[in-house]
Amino acid sequence: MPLMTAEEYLDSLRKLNLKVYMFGRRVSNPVDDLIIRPSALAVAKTYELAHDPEHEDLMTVRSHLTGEKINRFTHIHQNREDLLKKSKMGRLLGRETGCCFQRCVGMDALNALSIITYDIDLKYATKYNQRLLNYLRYVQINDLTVDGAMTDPKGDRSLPPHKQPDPDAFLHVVEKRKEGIVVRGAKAHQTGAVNSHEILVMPTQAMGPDDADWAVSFALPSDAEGITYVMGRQSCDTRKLEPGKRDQGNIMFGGHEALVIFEDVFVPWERLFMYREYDFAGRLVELFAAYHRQSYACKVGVGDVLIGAAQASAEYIGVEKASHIKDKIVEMNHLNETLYCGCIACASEGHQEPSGTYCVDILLANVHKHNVTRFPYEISRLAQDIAGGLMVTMPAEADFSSGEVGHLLKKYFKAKDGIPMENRLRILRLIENLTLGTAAVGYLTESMHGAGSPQAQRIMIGRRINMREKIRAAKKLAGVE
Amino acid sequence: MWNKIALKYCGGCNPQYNRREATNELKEKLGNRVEWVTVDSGEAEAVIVVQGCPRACADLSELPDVPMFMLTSVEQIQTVVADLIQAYNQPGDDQE
Repeated sequence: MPLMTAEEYLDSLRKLNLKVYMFGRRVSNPVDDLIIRPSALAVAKTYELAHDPEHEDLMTVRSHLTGEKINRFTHIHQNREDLLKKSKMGRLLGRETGCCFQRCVGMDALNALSIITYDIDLKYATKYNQRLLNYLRYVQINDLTVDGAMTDPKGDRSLPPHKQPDPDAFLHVVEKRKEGIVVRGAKAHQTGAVNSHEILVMPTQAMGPDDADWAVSFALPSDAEGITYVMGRQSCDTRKLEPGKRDQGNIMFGGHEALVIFEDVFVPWERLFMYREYDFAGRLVELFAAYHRQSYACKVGVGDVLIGAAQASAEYIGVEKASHIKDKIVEMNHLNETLYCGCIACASEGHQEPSGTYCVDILLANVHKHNVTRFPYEISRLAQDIAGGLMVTMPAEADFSSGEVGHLLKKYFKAKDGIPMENRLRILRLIENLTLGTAAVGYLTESMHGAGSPQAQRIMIGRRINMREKIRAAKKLAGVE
Repeated sequence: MWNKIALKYCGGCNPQYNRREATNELKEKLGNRVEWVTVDSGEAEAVIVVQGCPRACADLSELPDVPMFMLTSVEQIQTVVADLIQAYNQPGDDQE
């Protein structure tokens, strides 16, 4: 089963015994829950397009382990072309779903660990890399979705893990047994967690010798004993429970995040990829972050959707030829394609690590993600400017069906002749969805904080820039000895 | 009946034209004389590679060793049809 279909994927989720809570209640069947389902359908798109002749060239690749055709989300990058195709795949899926499709984080974790396990083995003569490759083979053969889990709650940010008043503020080892270890803690903001078959845990920051119990990386089935998921709320989330679809904006897809809690969870040795090697925690974070910052190529695809919606909204009321509208659309495209430049550049300038894995250019990946923390906000502002106030003052879909006022709403919200009113309202709801509804979680706040908040990128940019070379060039041209 | 021809697409990350509409037009112009087969059928005697832009990044490494015809824009549809006609010396629908 190297390539699951979308239906097979959804069926495979139904077989999991996840302990999921939302609105204070246990969710017995997350896949078919009206609020969670759109996010499962977004992941399912990554399976569907792998079977589509028009997209399989991006979505699939030959495994370097088995030679089998596999989903790119389970692949270890073997060359720069792989890195480029990853960026392109992100744009494609962002455009096809208009939301976060959640599967990149596991791919990024696997690639980062393929490098770091090799490096740890070199220093300590451990066997982590072979373990990881065995695990990777399992993931590829079964075409699994993996949740890469890095972010700890972190408690008092001024203190390292071992000095936290509550040691569980960072996930850590609480017991060592003959067969493995026991861990306790949590991972926050886990995108797509309940749509995943596996959870792949990594430490969240650089660590010192006293933090060794917190320097741990492992993989477990997502329904392993002791793991609990609590779903995050999203703006406008309960619109998915209403009859009718229009007010959802994106009537097909969505994303989700969850807090994942580990209550004394057992991890067998063969699923451990880092155990107390604290001196590699920082490097692992840096690598994962770089790959994941590249992954924000997806926002370019979501930007495509928003720009298309803004243009359509202008055409529906006959203002598309106004010079300021055309200029705003150009500006939106300029910003969106600038983002695309960054994710293509960091892939084009990728390099091979000693493990054989290709890694993006870390400086350029950080620059790309830093732009992502800004440009979607400006693109959204322009989209709202073009859309007009109706986007947020429009009555509910049910009012348009009302016997008392429906005919009046249809009269006063009419678009230009030849354009069905329904089309105009749906497009405006989509803009609302992307810029302040459920999808704004992914397009805006995730753009800000996902894969690291802006300051994290600024630190990396500061570290990676070769200032001495710039000074040398300036001094030479100015005649400074 | 013409030769058996397969279509191979690039991944479609950011196509500069509607690839599906373009291939539909291509199929219409070539008429029912072409038998369309899949790339991995082992039967293709030629492959039309539908590239979404001039970057033309479709992976060609696993294509059968048969003649290839590249489509990178709508404007090239007629050229591809003409090249196929020339290659196989068969009149197209629009030339009958």
